[in-house]
Amino acid sequence: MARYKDPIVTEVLGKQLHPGEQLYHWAYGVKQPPIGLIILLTLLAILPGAIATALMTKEYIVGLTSHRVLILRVKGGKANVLEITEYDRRSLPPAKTSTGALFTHIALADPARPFVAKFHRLGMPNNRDHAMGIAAALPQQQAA
Amino acid sequence: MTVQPQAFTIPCPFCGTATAAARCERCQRDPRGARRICGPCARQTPTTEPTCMHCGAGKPNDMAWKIPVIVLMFALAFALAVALQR
Repeated sequence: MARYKDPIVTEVLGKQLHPGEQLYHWAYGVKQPPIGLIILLTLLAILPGAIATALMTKEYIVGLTSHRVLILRVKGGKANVLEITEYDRRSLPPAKTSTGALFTHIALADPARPFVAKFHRLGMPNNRDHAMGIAAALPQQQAA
Repeated sequence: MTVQPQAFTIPCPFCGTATAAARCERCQRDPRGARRICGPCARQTPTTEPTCMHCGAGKPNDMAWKIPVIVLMFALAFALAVALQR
């Protein structure tokens, strides 16, 4: 079930690290299209709906380092990096995180670079622990 | 584990110049800004810029081939359903 193994992810994230920077946690997450669209596509036709949902799903590898939260949008079996977003740990945007039976959800409410993804516990070895470790390092958004 | 990050100098991902500022002194871009990997030259370029700062290649559109494929799949599914009902 695991999408990527640890060596691939740590290698991909390691290429983005600066000298002296340490990687503490890493996790694999996805951002699916809106649930209404998934339901609509599946109701239209089950198999094409499922394929369309998979095509529109974005995959992310998130790393928590000593200095940054690194978000890599990846694709393919070797986790080819498409986009890189980073947040300085000294000025992290407010985050909304939750952990359920299967998924850990992380949303960063940055006005310029918002980020939302969910991390399945079987997405990678120890994905749940790593995702919770990343979530714990984020400043929680205050309830309105 | 509690970590207190310190300000530190980093190589600008776009031009390679060592910088600790919010804007690279050489290329004037945000070294911590969102960036993408350019397909043709495989170098990093700001996501906000429509073309690659190194090779000038245009920004790829992920959905450019996916939307026609999705539409085609649904069209085939409906055509198959109609054909099977006859």
